[in-house]
Parts: sequence; structure tokens; C-alpha cells
Amino acid sequence: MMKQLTKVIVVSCLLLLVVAPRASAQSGEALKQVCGVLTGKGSEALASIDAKKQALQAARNQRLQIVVSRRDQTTTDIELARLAADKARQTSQAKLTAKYQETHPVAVQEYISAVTNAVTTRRTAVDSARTLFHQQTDALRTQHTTEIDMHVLTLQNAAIVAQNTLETNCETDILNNSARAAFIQDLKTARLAFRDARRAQPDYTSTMKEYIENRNKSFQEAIKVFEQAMQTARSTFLEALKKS
Amino acid sequence: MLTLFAVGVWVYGKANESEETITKKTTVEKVIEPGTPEEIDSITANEVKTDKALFESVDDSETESIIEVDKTANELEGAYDETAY
Repeated sequence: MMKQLTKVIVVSCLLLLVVAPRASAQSGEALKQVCGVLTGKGSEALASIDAKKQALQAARNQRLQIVVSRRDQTTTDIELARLAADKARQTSQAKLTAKYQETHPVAVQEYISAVTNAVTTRRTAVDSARTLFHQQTDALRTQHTTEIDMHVLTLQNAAIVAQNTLETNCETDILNNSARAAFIQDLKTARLAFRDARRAQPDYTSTMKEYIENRNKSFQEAIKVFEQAMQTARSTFLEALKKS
Repeated sequence: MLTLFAVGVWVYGKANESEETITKKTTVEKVIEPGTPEEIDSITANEVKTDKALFESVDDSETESIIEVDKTANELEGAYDETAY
């Protein structure tokens, strides 16, 4: 009886020695396959992030080119419009001077000088408001860009870490499900962190509106000062004509 | 007799048409005498309008350069779908 029992035990042990490594090898093979698929998915995710990052930079550069082009075009258009206005004003002033040079030389010169000053003051004021507006929008754009880039980099790094952790887990032979679950969780955490960070960014639309409003207020103020100066110059001139 | 009447109607119509045209021209076109403060006011007022319109014409591109890019950034939220792995 004891002999038979010993035989059974010995045979069982032998069987275990033969079967266990085979089972383990099969399990290892399955893990390799799963890890291979997951690593491929991880690489796809990283490539997708990189492609979208490139698209973001391309879209940003394109928009920036449009801004620079529009600004340059506007500057040229304003210069041309002002040159045309200067020419028309000079012609009109020459006629006015010719008309009153003999009778009211001082009054006409003072009037022309006052008009020129009013025009120059208004142009300087609106140009300053425009420059300030551009500086503010440039700063806002830079701030916005830096923040987004930082969030994208965090996402990219987190996805790389997830991929590296998966590879390590696969090499250290952790159970399939555990490696897969950890990988999925890491990617989910990275994606949600990016989404939350984006949502937490300030509302730039309202800041832009504020800048536009401030600039327009400066324009209005400059126009108001200009119109008052023009009115005063005109009244003074007409009064001088009446006096003599 | 009929011809005379037709000619009379045509002449009357033409005369009225001319008066109307003259009235329209007088109402629409405000004549500014050259070489006067009024003309200088008009020139500078036009410059103010043009300046303002041109300055404000860049607003859309400036705003879009900041806001529109967000749409591309938002696409990164869907760069991958880990639930399908």
C-alpha cells in the first residue's frame, strides 16, 4: 500500500515537472501576444498625439501668418489713405491761403497750423492705441500658446510613461490583465488630465473683447479731442475774419 | 389736333422730369466750396472714418488667431481611445 502510494506521488511529481513548464510557456506566449498588441496600440496613440500636435502647430502658424499679413495690409492702406487726405487737405489749404493771404495772413496760418496739429495728434493717439492693442493680443496669444504646449507635452510624456510601464510589466511577466489594465488606466488618466487642464484655461474670448473695447474707447477719445480742436480752430479763424 | 396734343403731353412730361432731376441733385449733392474750413473739415472727417474702419478690420483675424486654434487643440483630447484597447 505504501509502495503504491509512493509510486503515485512520484509519478505525479514527474508529471508536474513535465506539464508545469509547458503551461507556463503557453501562458508566457499568450502574454507576449497581448503585450505585442498593446505595445502596437500604444505606439499608435503616441503617433496620433504627435500628428495632432503637428496639426496644431501648422494651424497656429497659418493663423499667425494671416494676422501678420492683415496687419501689414492695414498699415499700408492707412498710410495710403492718409497720404491722399494730406494731399487733398494741402490743396484746400493752399486755396484758403491764397484767398486770405492778403487780408488775414496770420489768421489763415494759425488756422492751418491748428488743423495740422489736430490731425497729427489724432493720428498719433490712434496709432498708439493700435500698437497697444497688438502688443496685448500678441502677449495673450503667446500666453495661450505656451499653456497649450505645456498641456500637450504633459499628455505626450504621460503616454510615453504608460508605454514604458507596459513594456516593463510585460518583461517582468506580470499577469496579462494586470499589465493591460494598468496601461489602459494610465492612458485614461493622461487623456482626462489633458481635457481638464484645457477646460481650466481662462476664457480668452472675453479678454479679447476687453482689449477691443479699450482700443475703441481710445479711438473715440482721440476723435472727440480732434473734433473739439477742429471746431475751436474753425471758430477762431471765422472770428478773426469777422473782426477786420 | 391729336398730334398737337401728344406733343403737348411729351413736352409737359419732359419739363417735369427735368425739374425733378434738378431737385434730386440739389438734395443729394451738398456742394462744398473749395478752399474753405468746411472743405477741410470734410477731408479730415473722411480720414477719421477710413482710419477707424481700417483699424477695426483686423479684429476678426486677431481674435481667430487665438480662439480658432483651440479647435485643433481640442482634437488632442480624442488622439486615442484607450477603451478600445
